[in-house]
Amino acid sequence: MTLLQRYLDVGDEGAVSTLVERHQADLLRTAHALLGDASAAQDAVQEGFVRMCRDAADVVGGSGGRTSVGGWLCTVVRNAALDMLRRRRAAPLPDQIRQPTPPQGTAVDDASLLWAAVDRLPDVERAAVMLRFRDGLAYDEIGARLGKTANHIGVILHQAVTRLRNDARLAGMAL
Amino acid sequence: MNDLPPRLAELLQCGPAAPTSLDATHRQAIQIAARQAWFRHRSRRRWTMLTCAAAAVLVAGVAGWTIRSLVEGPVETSTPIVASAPELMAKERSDPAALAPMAKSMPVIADVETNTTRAGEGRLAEQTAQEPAVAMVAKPLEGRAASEAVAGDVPAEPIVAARSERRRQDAQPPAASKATKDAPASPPVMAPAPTAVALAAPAIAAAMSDAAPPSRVEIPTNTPRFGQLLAARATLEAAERGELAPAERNPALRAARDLIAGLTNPPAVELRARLDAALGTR
Repeated sequence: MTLLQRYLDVGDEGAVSTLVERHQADLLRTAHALLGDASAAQDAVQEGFVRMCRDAADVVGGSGGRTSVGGWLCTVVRNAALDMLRRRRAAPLPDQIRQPTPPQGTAVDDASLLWAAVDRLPDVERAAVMLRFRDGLAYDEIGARLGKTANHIGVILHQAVTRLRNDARLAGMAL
Repeated sequence: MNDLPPRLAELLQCGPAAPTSLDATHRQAIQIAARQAWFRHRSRRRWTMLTCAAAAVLVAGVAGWTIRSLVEGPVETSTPIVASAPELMAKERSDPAALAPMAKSMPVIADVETNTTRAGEGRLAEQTAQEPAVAMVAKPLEGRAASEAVAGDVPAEPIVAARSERRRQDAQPPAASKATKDAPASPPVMAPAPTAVALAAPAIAAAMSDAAPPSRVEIPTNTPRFGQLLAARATLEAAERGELAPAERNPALRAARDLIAGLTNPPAVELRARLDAALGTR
């Protein structure tokens, strides 16, 4: 909050750069887990930082000055990503753009099938699977990023894995 | 999650990697947005401060004006040359000596210097016999004049008496004045203009009879005496045309000069100069 206060008081752009360096990786990971697209994730994170600059006075003065900039940014980026998903659903992108990059070092067929199945999961389940298995976050960390409780994240992950297992079995994958 | 097949777990762990940092374009956009947002924030802060300052000045001004109005009362916009008859009567009854400075300062009697108390009382009696409203005001003032004449500390010149004297002078032709008593003839005199007492008497009577709140009557202090002016001018022109006999010329001119002695308006001053010239005094 001190960095944001300094930006508000004297217009220090270095403070904003420091905040970007500090929070961008975490925010990009969350946005990418939700969107599955690196460019869209960067757009969502950029939107979050722009809104932070625009509403800096409210962020600093909100909740008696006890607002966490990281938490506020995470909420803003998540909402921006969900908005993008809604817009994407209204106007779907071509399949070649949405197709995630195949992971390196694995069999192309199995990986393609698995990530196609992940891509078909609901948004929150897909994000939870990516944050859990790709990034290795704990349940409460995933819950903080997605705005859910840790127990709820456990339920979501259980449902997601069940769906993936059924899909893999149907696809004849050797699991 | 322990029952996750190892192969699925391995594949999931090798998922598509998320970007770890924003690219240059996104960073630049954030920097520009930060600069614009800060300038907008500063501008909004300045406007807020200016608005607050203007509001504070306005509130302070209104508060100051209100306090001043409450402390000092309504601001006087005219000179205190108005008199209220009920106020004068009440003051006269309670403190007769307090009216002396007021009587001195009233400009309406400034040009009446030759009246004596006795003569004023006599004329006042005549006036009160003619005008009941003047009588109502004059009665306590007569008592005051007598008491002050005995005390001898203030000029015994009742206000109403002085006004009635002026009315009497206005009504008299120049030939009947004290200075021209022996003059056999005099020029015609026009009807005098209404005096301040005549103007004020109905209002005073109305204020006293209806028991209404004290109404203030404006008394003009420099009413032009057209009748006196015309009479004096007629005397002068008759003298210039040679219509006056040599024996009565100078007394008539002096009477005319006395008639306009108290007037200070420019026509009166000019006429007085002509009268002086005709008399040979200047």
